[in-house]
Amino acid sequence: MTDDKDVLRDVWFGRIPTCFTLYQDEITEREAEPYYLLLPRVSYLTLVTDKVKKHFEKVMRQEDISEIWFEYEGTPLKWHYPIGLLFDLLASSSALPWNITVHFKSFPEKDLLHCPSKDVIEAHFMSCVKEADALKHKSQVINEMQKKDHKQLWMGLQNDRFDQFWAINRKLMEYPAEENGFRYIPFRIYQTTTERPFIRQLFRPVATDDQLHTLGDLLKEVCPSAVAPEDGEKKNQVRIHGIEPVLETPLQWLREHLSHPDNFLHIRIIPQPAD
Amino acid sequence: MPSSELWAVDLFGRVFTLSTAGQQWELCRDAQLEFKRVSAAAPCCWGIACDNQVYVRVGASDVPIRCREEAYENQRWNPMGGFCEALLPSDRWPWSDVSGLQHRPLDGVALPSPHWEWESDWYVDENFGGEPTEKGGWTYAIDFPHTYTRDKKWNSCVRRRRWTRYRRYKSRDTWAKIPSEDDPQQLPDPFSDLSVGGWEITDEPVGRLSVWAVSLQGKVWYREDVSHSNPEGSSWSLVDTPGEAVQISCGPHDLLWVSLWEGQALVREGINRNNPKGVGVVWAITKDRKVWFRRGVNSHNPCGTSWIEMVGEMMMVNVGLNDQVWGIGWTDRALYFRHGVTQSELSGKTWKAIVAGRECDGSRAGSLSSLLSAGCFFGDEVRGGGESRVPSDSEAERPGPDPERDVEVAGPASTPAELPWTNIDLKEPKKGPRHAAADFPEGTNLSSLALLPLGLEEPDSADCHALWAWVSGGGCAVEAHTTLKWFTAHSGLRASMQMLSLPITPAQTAAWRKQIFQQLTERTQRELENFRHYEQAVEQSVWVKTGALQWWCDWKPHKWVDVRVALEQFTGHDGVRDSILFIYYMIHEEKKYIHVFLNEVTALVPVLNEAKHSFAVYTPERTRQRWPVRLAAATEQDMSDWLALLNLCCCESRRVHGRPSPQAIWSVTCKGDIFVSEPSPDLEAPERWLPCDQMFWRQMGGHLRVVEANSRGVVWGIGYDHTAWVYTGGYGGGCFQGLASSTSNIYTQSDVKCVYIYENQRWNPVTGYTSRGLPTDRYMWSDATGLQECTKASTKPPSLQWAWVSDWFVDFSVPGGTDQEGWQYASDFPALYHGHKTMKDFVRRRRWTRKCKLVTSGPWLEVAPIALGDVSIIPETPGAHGSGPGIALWAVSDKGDVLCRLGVCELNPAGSSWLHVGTDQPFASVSIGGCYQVWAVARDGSAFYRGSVSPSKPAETETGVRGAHSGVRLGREREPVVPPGGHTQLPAGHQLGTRVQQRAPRVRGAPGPGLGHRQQSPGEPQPEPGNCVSPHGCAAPGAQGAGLGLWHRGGLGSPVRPGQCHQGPQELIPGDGRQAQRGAGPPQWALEGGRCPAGDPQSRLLLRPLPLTWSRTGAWSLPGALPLGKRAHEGPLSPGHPQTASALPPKEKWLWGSGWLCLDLISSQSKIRKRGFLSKVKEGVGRLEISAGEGRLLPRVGRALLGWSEDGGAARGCEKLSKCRVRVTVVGPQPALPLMGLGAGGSFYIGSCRRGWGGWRPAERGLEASARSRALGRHPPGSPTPSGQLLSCFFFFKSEKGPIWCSLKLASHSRTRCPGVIGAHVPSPLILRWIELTASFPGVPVRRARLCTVLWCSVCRPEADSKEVSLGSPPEGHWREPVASAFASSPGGGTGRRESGGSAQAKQVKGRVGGALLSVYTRGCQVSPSGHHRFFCGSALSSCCDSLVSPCPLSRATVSPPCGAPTADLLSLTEPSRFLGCFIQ
Repeated sequence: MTDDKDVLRDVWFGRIPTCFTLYQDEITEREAEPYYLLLPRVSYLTLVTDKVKKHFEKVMRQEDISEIWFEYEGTPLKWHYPIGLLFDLLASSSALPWNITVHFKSFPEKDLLHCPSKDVIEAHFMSCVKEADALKHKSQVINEMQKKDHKQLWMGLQNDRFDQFWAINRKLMEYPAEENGFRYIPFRIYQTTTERPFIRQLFRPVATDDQLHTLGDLLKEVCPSAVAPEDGEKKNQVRIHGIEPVLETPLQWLREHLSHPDNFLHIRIIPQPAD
Repeated sequence: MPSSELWAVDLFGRVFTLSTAGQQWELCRDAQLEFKRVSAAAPCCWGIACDNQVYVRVGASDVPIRCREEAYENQRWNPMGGFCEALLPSDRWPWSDVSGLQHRPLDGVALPSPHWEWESDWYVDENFGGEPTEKGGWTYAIDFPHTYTRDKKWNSCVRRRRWTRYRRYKSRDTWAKIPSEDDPQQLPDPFSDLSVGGWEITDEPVGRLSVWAVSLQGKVWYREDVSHSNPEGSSWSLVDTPGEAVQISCGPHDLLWVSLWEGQALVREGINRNNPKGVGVVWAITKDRKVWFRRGVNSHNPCGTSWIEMVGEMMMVNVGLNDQVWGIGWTDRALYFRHGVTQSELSGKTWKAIVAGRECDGSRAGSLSSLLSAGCFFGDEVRGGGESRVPSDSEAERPGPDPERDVEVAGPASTPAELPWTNIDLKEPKKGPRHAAADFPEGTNLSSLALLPLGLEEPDSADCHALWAWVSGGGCAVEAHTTLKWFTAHSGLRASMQMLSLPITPAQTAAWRKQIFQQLTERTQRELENFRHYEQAVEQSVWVKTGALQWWCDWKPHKWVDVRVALEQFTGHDGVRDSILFIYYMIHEEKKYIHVFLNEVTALVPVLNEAKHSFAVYTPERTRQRWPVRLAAATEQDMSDWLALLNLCCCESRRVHGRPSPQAIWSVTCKGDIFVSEPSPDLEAPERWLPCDQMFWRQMGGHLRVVEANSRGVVWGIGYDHTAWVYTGGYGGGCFQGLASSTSNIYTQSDVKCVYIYENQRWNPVTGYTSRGLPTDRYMWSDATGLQECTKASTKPPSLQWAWVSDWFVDFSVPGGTDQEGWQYASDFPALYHGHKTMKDFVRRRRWTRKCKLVTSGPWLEVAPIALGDVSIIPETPGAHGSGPGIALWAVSDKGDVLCRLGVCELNPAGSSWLHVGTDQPFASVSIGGCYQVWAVARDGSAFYRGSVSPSKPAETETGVRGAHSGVRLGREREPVVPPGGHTQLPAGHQLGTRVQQRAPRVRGAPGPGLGHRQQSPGEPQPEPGNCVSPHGCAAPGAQGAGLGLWHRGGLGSPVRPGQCHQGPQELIPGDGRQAQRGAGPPQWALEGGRCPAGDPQSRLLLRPLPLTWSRTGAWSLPGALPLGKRAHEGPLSPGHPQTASALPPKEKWLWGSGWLCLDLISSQSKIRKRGFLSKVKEGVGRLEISAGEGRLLPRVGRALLGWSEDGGAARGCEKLSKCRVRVTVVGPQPALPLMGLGAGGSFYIGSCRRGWGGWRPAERGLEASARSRALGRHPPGSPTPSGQLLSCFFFFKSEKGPIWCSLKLASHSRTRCPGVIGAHVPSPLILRWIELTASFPGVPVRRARLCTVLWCSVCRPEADSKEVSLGSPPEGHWREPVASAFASSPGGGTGRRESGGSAQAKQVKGRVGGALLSVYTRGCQVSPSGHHRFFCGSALSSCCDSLVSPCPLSRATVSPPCGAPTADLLSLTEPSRFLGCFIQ
């Protein structure tokens, strides 16, 4: 019997093979070779693309270099979404590797946040963790942690150290024994079909009758359109970390095992590919 | 947590029980009985019914209550008619009891009450002191009463024999009426109150209960002789009281309080021995319903000091186990549980209502009539004061300085009740369930409830919840930290869902989880498989954790020094994580460091002593040096963090995670720590040849004394308090939290053990015995040896984990007996102590005991309710995967009953119930081997074998036939093992040991780190009492590390290296001692040998690890730890006999392996005889287990060898040798196959093997043809007779495709036989000393893989290429090489042959081996591109080659890589750095 740590491990070590190509309009001194990289699903684009940046900067003229940004098939990629989420949202049906275009010019101000340094990512990451803990434990756990614990969380993510990260993160996953789960489940539901970036609501893991809520319960409540009617054809895929958990999966378990490092359960609902 | 039950009576007189694990009251359905009150103890419940009779209800248990009746038939010799019943007038009765004083004809022995039934008819006990007697069971003496002997002598004038008959208590799980006395002046009036207690009075036999009752006239009665074996007791006896009692309460110890009609409380003093016992707890209810807690109650002052008022108004209170308190609320008649009662806070925190539903809630037929009948005697109580037990009319007259009315007593508690008691307010809002809130509004506290109208017989809420009249928690074990499910209402469905089946949590079996896991795997496959060559976005960087610890300095001065430590984790190029632990220290102002690679760490062992939170880090090197790295942290938390982190790193670098596999090897240390080692998953991986000191041992949470595992992942353990535990499938626990622990299947576990100290006194002519000794005397308060001062105050629990749970009390159960005050007398220290004073006694001592308790957590669940002394699981159940019969599991309860667990399977390792297997006497140990062979040793030392056990009839309970139950059984079902060697009698005093298996630390799976008695911590030399640690073994300052000298052979089949470490000294290469030592096996053994007594080379201890399998179950293990230079005594000792430790002979060692048994018995004494010890062999893969005699008897007692083959053919051997090295091998499956043994000096023994017993017959020195032909089974007649001594023999049996072949090696000749080359005759240059056989079994394809790996093959040139090779001194020879074909034909089956394709062609071995490389352990053969064979040697080629006698250049080559050997053309080393293999071209 495999233990659930295997799940955590698999989630953490998910990788997306990616091919970075420079945008064709960028002016280069010599031809830019594509750059191939395995991106960690749970990390952030700007956190792990130092190599990409260096690679392309070498062929660029110094004066043309400004802030780097990425785009996939015309969509600018939000660096503050986890990479796996971006992939699942935009490219999950396309062939691997994932082709990302690298831009140095014409930063899409209205689509993307600036990311001048890694401190910005860290701040974003930590605020996500804190927000999640506010939902889970009224921020009690995160507030009791010391600064070095916060740092260890961040360093764990940054350096892709599973043990380092989880040594701290498990404290965020605990809940009092007398309760069946967290206060609220921190989740975000992303839909490509709507304008709204994502859905976020208060949702308890345990129903009033002490039954554990399942993923299906959540979707019915929050995003009924995502759930196929009883007899209807399945129109949407519900994806977390690139997989489709069955709707009967208890939400609390999902929360504990399939959360991103930012402690949110990122659920994507994408239209069923018509094949 | 085992479930136990809370008993309660509702207002209608119905008795309900509520399990601690359950959520629903269950009605005790019985014959329309209505009860007034009940008083429960763990095994039974007493009650007073509405017919004023006393009833007892003994819970149904798997263990029957049996009682043996005895009668003696006495006869006197008469010159006329020989022995006859005509006795002299002064003689005893012809039929009498043992003393002869009482006439006891067989038909005059009656059943004591209708609740008993005879189990069998009378039969003669032919067993005398554990040994069979002459026919008829007579024992003889000169006269009555005298010493009886088995043998009839010339002066034997009288004889007697014992008739026995068993009766069985049949009224179980039903209310059995206690017969009222016939005597009219007895029991003139009915009882009104009853209390059961006293089960913890230390000097009483097990199961003894004190039952006290109060009659309506206010007299107090005591029920005599209530015990486990006599649940009814014998009679009521009146106990005087100064006043008229109205209520009585008896604690588990000697505390007894009575409340009188006048309102005073009485305390009874001097119950039994006036032992200082623990502190008791007294709760009381006064007339005004107030609850009081008595402070300062202890055994010295049973009255306590003062009363403390508690919050709440109660009708009654009851104190149960662990001082937990239950009460019935005054107003609502609801049951309350005092929440938060702990050792430190005996008064608890709040009252919590128990709202568990009742199964009959729907059909409550409460009628006024039944209510009245329930209260017929206590109508006023029910109406007015509830159980205040004071009739309302007497209240006014009550003087009332002592307000107590209802007194409940319990004990013990470890802390004196001198705590600052404060009244605890009950303001906490009830966390009651919703529906309970209907009649118990939220936020109401009990005191406000008191404002409600009282005393209503029918409260209006009667429909909503039960009205209770009485509660008894005496049988309800609630630990302070247990979470109960009583306080919330649940539907029945929910309750049933809560009953989780053992190792599997719902989350793990759910389909969704499987699917997620599968999808994740697929995702990884999809997204990563083709892109692995891509660069990683995040380079694996080094991660460092630093901290400050203390380190036990490696050199003088040994002391703790402050160090900085840093753990660096990094990822290697191959993606494997590794870590290094750096320890920086300052020496002479200079900064230095040592470091440990975590992938080399073999064990991380927490060392908890009083002073430090420390742990030891073992590596193979450190183990050899006996000097682990010891680190100490400032706090426990700190230590756990480091331990967990290091453990995680170790596991990661070893790629071990998750729960242990079924093949894992389990062990426990002498400290009770549990370790698991995982065999390498790769069958052919070189790691499989790990010696034990290189195995990685990973700790599991929990605390056990015994662990037993089988090959299917069923693991059981027994704690020091005899509690049985079953493994739940989790991992971690204990100090391993977080990532190192599984999220589920971890439960709280506790264990209790005793600490002993001795009070010593010397006689003084003036003052008598005083605690003033001579200056040379030992400490007046000391440990058992007298060397260490141990006062009551200074003696601490063994480690910080342990906490005292009792006070010191005198131990009366000391071997040798004590007097009334517990003293033992002797002429001087140290001498033999005896229990009565004589003229010559000048000193005396007594033993004080104190219990301590450890609470930890681990993947273990208790298997209630029976405490076990021993447990044994069948090693492997072939063909029973998934379905089929369960896994056979046998156990011996601590009372000596033999039990068989039913329903054990992989999915439910705990099994369902115990099946009691009838025995004639208490047993000590049981062992089940392959093919359902069950052996057991009785407490008196006789060994029993149980026939006809089969999967379908797990315990073969014969029923119905009376004769089968009685004496016949001795002869048939359970044959006492006749002593070996054809003797039918044994010299008196030869007792078989008390265990079937002598595993030192009770390692069943395999030895653990710090094997056996080895102390884990350096500088901690104190052996633990009862722990079979040799008192001398502590001399070694360094801890002896993990499993010295044990060799681990991987998971499934593993190779055997016979003979490898059995070279006699004369066979070692002269002049090259070092090498010889290396060659002779693991270095430790050689070292061990180096310490043998001079002048007795044969007494070198030759230990030989030789399992066929490493079965998780049995594998083999080393019973005796091997403290260097102190081999000894630990082996045969069973824990709990520290007294006999020093009496043990120092020179036995034995091992057992599966497939064969090896015993090396070396004694410097010339008289060694064998006596039965048991062993078992399970189809070549099981295990052997051996039991040895009781310690002090051992010097004269040798052993017999027993074993049996797969089909049940059992055999046994014995040998009379002065210097005995015995090795016996048992081979299945053909019953015709012989056993062979080799005596010292080469004498050869053959045991015939048939179903049942075989006997050893000595073969002549130099095997005769006939003997050999028998040995070989099918040896063709007329073949040449080899001359010389038979020195080694190998049998290999046919696998499905492979050939049968066997090799018999003689001193100067060797026969090799295989089907193709019958009669091939190859002279052998070897001089080998051991016979051994390995076996595989036809038609068992599973075994084939094992066969291959097991083969120890002789490599020789094929005959086609046979050229004589000159060898020098040893005879020349070639060896037939059947191995290649054997290997080739055994399919790759799991052996992971590197070039399995090639091996099929390997019909010939080319090349020569320089005449020297004659034996190789192969673990696979390989065909090189050139078509040549390679033979890969076993672990250390050095060993392998050293085992050759010849001046073999190869042996040099192997130990001095890279091969600069002269035979470089013949030999090269594939892996020179590891000596792992060589091949021959």
